[in-house]
Amino acid sequence: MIHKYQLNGYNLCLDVHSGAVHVLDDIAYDVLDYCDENMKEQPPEKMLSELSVRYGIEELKETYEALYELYQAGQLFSKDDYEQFADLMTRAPIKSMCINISHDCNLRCEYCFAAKGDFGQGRCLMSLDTAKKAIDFIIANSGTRHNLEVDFFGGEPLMNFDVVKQTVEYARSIEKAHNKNFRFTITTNGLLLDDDKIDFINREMNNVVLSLDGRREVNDKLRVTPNGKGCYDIIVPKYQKLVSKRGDKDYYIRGTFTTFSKDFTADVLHMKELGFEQLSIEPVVSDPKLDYSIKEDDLPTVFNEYERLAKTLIDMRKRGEYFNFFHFMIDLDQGPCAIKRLRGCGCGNEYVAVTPQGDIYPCHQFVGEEKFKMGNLNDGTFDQDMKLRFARANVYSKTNCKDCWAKFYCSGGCNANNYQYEGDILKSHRVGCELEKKRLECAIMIKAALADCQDEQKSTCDSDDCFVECR
Amino acid sequence: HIKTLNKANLKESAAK
Repeated sequence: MIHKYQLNGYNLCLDVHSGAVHVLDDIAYDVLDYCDENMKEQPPEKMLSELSVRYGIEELKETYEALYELYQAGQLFSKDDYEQFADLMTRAPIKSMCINISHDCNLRCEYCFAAKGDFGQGRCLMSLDTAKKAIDFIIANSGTRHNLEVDFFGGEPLMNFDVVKQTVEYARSIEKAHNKNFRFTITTNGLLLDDDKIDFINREMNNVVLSLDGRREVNDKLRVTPNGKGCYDIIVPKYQKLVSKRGDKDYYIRGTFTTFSKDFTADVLHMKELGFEQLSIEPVVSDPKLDYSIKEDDLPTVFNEYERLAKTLIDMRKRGEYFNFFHFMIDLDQGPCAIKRLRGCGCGNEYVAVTPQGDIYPCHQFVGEEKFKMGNLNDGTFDQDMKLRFARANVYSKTNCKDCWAKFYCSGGCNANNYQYEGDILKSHRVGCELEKKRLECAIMIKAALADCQDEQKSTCDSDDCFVECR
Repeated sequence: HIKTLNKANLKESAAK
C-alpha cells in the first residue's frame, strides 16, 4: 500500500509497510499511477501509450525502472506482514499512569472534557494514602519495565500540590529498591504557579504541560474563572518565568482550538512571540451539538489552516527561527518500533488513570464512564478481561484502520474519542481520522521541504558559516 | 526522478 499526494509543490509518496518516504518529480508521480503490488520488470504498455503524449518514451522507461528498483528493494508497495504481530498482542505490563490528583479546578473552561474539573463525580482532592497506593499499583503491575511514567492531572493539580510533592518523594524513596525509574509530568492551567512550585516542577518533572489557547482574546473567550474572567494576563508571565528557568528540560505550551479559533496559526505564532518554542494546539473534543465543536463542515477550513501553519514553520526555519509544533513532529528514520505503532497509546493496557476515589479507568478521557471502570486501588480489584480487550484494540482489529495509509502513525487513533463519537472503541472517529491524516501529510511535507533546504544550502554555500540548521 | 527521505526500517523494528 502506498499513499501519494501533492502538497506545497511537492509530490510525495509514503510506502506504508516499509515506512519509506519518497519525493517524486512530475513524471515519476504520474508513472506511479500505473504501478501496483504486482510490478513487472517491463513497463506497462498502457502507461507508455497514455503518458507518451506528455513525456518522452525513454524518459518514461527510465522513470519506471527507478520505481521498479524501489519495488524490488522493498521500499514501494512493500507487503503487509504485520498482522502476525497484531495477533500476538496480549496484556502488557502497565508502565504509565495518569493520577487525577485533583477533581477540582479553579477555572471553568467551557470545553473541558473533565466537566469543568470534577469529571461529573463531585469536587474532591486525592489523599496521600490513595496516591501512594497508585504508585504501589504501577510498581506491582509493571513487570520488568524499568521506566515508569506518572502524569499529575486533573482538574487542576496545583490545587493539591502538597500531595503531588509527597507522592514524588514517596516514589523516589522506593524506586531504586524496585529497579524502577519514575518520570513525572504535570499538566497545569498555571493560575497557582509561584516560585516554589516552579522550582519543584523544574527539578522533578521530566515534562510540564502548560495550558494556553494562544492570543488573549482566544484564550479568555473559553478559559475563564468561576466568575467569568479570563486568565491570560495572570498565567502568561508565570509561564515565561517557568520556561526561562527550565533549561533544556521538556515543556509544552498546549492549547485547544475550537470552531471559533480555526485560524490557530495566529495562536501558534503568538505563543512563539511570547518566547515559547515547544507548542501544541489540538482540536477540541466535544459533543458535536455544542456550538464550539469542530464539525465535518469545518474540515476544509482546518485543513487549509494546517497547511498554512506548515508553510509558516518552513519559512521560519529557513530564516533560522525555530519553533516546534507537537503534531508536526515525525521521525522518519527512527520513530517508534512497529510493535509500539501497533499498540498505540496503550490506553487500558499499558496506561491507566486513577481518580481521587482510587477508581481505575483506561485513560484520563474515560474517567467517569462507569462501564469502563477497571477496578479500585482500595479494594484491590482490577478487570483483567477489560485490559485484554484494550490490548487487542489495535490497527488490525479496528474498523477502517487495517487498510488506511496512516495506520502506523496514528496507531488506530484515540479509543476514548472512538467511544465518545461512535459508541465503540473499535470504530474510528471520522473527523479525528481526517485531522490526523492531514497533520501527517503536513509533517511529511515539512521533512521534504527541510531536506530541500539543506540540499540548497550545501549547493549554494562553500562556507559552514552560512549554514542555518533546517532541523 | 526520485529522492528517498529516509532509511526505512519499520519491518526490522517489528522483529527487534
